[in-house]
Amino acid sequence: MSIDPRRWRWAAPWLFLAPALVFFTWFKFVPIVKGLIMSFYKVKFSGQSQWVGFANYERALSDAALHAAAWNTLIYVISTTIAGALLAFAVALVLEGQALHVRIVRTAIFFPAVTSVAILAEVWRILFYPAAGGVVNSLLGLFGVGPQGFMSDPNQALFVVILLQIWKNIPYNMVIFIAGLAGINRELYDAADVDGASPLRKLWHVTVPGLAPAFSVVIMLSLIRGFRVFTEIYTTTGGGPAGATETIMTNIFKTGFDRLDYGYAAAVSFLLFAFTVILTIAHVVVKNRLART
Amino acid sequence: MRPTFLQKLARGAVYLLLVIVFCGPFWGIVATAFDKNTVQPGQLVFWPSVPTLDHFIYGWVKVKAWLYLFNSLVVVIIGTFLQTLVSALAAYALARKRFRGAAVVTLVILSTMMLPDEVISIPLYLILHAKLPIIGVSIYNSYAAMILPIVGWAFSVFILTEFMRAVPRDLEDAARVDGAGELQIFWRVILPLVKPALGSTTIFGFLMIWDQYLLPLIAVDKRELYTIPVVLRSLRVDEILQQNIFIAVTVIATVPCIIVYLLLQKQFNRGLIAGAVKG
Amino acid sequence: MKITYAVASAALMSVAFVSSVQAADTLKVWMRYGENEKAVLDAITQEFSKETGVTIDLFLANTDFETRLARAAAGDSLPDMIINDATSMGQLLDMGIVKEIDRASLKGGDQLYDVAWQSVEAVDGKYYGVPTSAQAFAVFIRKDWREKLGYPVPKTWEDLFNLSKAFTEDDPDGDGKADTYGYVMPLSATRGYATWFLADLIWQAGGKFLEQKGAAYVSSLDTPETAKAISFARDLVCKGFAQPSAITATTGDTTPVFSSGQAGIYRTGPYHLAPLSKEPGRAVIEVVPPPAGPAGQAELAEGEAAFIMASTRHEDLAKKFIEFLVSEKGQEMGMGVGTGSSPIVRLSINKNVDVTKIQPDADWGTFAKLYATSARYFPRVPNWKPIRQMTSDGFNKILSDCSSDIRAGLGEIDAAVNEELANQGVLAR
Repeated sequence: MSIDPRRWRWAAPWLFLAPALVFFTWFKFVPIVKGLIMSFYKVKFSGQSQWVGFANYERALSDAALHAAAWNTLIYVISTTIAGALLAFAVALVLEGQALHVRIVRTAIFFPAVTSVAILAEVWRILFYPAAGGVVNSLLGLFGVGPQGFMSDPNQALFVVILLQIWKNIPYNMVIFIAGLAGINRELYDAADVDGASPLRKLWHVTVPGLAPAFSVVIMLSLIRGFRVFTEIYTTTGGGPAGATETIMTNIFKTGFDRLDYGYAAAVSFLLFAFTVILTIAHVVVKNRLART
Repeated sequence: MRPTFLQKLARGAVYLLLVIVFCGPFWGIVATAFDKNTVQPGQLVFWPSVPTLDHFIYGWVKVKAWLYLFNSLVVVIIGTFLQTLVSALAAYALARKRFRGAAVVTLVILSTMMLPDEVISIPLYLILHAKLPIIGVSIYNSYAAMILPIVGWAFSVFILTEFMRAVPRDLEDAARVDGAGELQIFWRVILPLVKPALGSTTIFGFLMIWDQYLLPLIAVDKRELYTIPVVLRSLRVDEILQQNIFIAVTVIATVPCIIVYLLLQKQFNRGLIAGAVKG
Repeated sequence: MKITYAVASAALMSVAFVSSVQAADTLKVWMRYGENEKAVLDAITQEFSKETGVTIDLFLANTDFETRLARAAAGDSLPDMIINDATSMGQLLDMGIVKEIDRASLKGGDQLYDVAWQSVEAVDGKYYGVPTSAQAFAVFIRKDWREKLGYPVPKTWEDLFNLSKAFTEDDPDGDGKADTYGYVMPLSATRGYATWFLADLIWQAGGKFLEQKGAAYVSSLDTPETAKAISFARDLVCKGFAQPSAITATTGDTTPVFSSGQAGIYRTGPYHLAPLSKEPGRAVIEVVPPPAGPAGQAELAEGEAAFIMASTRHEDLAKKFIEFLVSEKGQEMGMGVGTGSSPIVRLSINKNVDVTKIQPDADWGTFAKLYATSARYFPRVPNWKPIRQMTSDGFNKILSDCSSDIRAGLGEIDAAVNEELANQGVLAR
């Protein structure tokens, strides 16, 4: 018996996809759908859950604690994105090139990017310990600055956890910028030289426009990472003090797992999910617009 | 125009500053882990005053860091291998075949990248608990429960698809003329050509799986199967454990990532850029 | 690389697909303890197995315990019984996963202190757990520091304040650096630590959390008494006499502060006697009753309890194990004397067990005496946990801001707690 290979050609891609589809379906899609269904219930952990329609979603709209968390998240996202991009850009300009010593420095500063967040958080808690003998406080002391409260001070805590994210992101972003720098047409620089442009003008008129795609990527990545920030906060301040570092995800986690209000937590999560998807689509649309003009 | 001495000096200073800012803290925890004297909370030493291996030995033997390290390695090695294999197969179909539904499949897979894992943790737990179809056993409380859910990872499917797309058609056509089947083309022609990309997805997968906290937390209720991140958290609340020992275990937990990064650094950067530029 | 894969896959095969088949006489038990208690627990379970032939499958989790329980409840995979804080009973009841205990039919149940039984009595008058251990809190002081600076053992808030100040400002460790602090406080809102710590002060000042009116309650924090207690704590924090990280600290953070000699006053339970005797050392610490506030002396009492899960098919075995745990033998073994491990029984809930006869360290007696005389449990409401969390959030907020209006803050907490009481159906009109 011979099989006509052409008759079965349509099946080939699906056979290759099959393992992935099985794994994605069973461990991702099924839980997502189940979670979505739960967001319409008041989930009881034993016994029958109770259908509540859109009540969980309505509650999210009027939940003051959630709104405060959303506000903190927004501050977090915007500052980590902007500062992370600009500082990484500056570092990339310094560390551009193929010379051995530059490559060594690049490798060395990459450590925070490949270390577990849980460990980075511990490092941060040690560095920013608020006693006068804490590492950062000792350094500040050299400049005559008194000991700071850092993560124990509601006015500084958010800033300190933002700093952690920036610290971790700079190396990542730097690599993207360096690749972007390597891709810029050398002739543009030469032309600018002929025109007698100053280094700053070259930076502004050649480098920055040439890096537009890199900026776009860096910004998008930090937006997505920022909105779902969890471990960085949960393991350093736990959302405190006085809720100063509470973000959307830590709020969801506490609602779901401390207060066991799982249906509501699921509803808020899907709002966040929808928001991230919209943001991504908006980004793509804007990018395409810009590319066309 | 050669840089003046002053410019060189300034450059050197900037390099030094960068290295201090990004590596200094790591130096601090390593030095502290080797120091015999107990540190107070919030303190690091610059150089161990009385160097000792005691904290590492205690962490390794008494805290049983070796066991958790072994668990982490089992999960991360098998997980990364399966993840890369499954992603490569899927990427082959998505990159090299035109078929109805390809766009939908891509979109659906990509959408999972946006979803925070915490959201699906309870439904996922229920699924880990349920008996698997066909085989009829539950994988809960086993290595499999920590591995199988991360086998499907959109990011690595996505990167490999991009790279496979870039392989010229004629190579594939030539192989086909020679009578090669699909599997042979995949294995002999395409895979070797995207080796660097496989390196990238391997290291990203490695770091991603190594960092997993929530999955091992919900997948096993059995201390013998804990992975390093889960144990670190439990040690964090251990009020009796000495700071230096905790720091030593932290160092033990960091070393594998650093080693893998140093070994696969080139692929890592390439993958990061590919993921970025094509995203 | 190949070898690694081979070893790894062999390991996977052997462990991964062996679904845990449970023998008929295996009892699955989860406890909120950590590795420090493991040796004691292993000894107990082995002894129990030897006596009864029942094997115990024990799982210890000192983090995320409730989260694991909730998931297990959802996945219908709860253990047969658990040991957890007695205060968690309300939440367990709320989740509907705990079984009623017939106090009269529990062998040896009549030998347990009444006050301990009360910690597992629900508002419906039924019992849903069995107490296994109790404890009160006392204050640990760096004796060497205190004597060096020439201060008496603090008896009042004023003494306590002055001692905290001296420990911070007068360089008690004599290293010439201003690197020591007075009172170590865990004031994080996480898991309700702030409330857990401040309860002592509130009661010492004459305040209370809830006012009982018949079978119902109303939140009663916004009083001059409670304000005095919060203000006392805030003064210590804002003047820098508490450890600097107090406001975000849990007990996981505070113990090392005291043990490493960064601060000299620490309020904690008897389970810390052994580790703190090792570091900073037995000779340099002393255990004293909490200094009295304006309304006298008071401190928190709490305890652990065993709960049988509603879904169990081994109720009789679970009961047998609990009977063993609360028996004289079980209680004595639980104290773990000589095992080098932390005790799971702090103060015995069994009338016939005298902790001072078992524990070699005489300061256990201090705790036992406090428990018997001035210690108080948290109020009994259907579910105390959400209230503990809310009050903690509120306290943490007030303490984080040195210039905020304390009474206004307390008023806000009252409003939130009353709303929760209404949810639980026990708000007094």
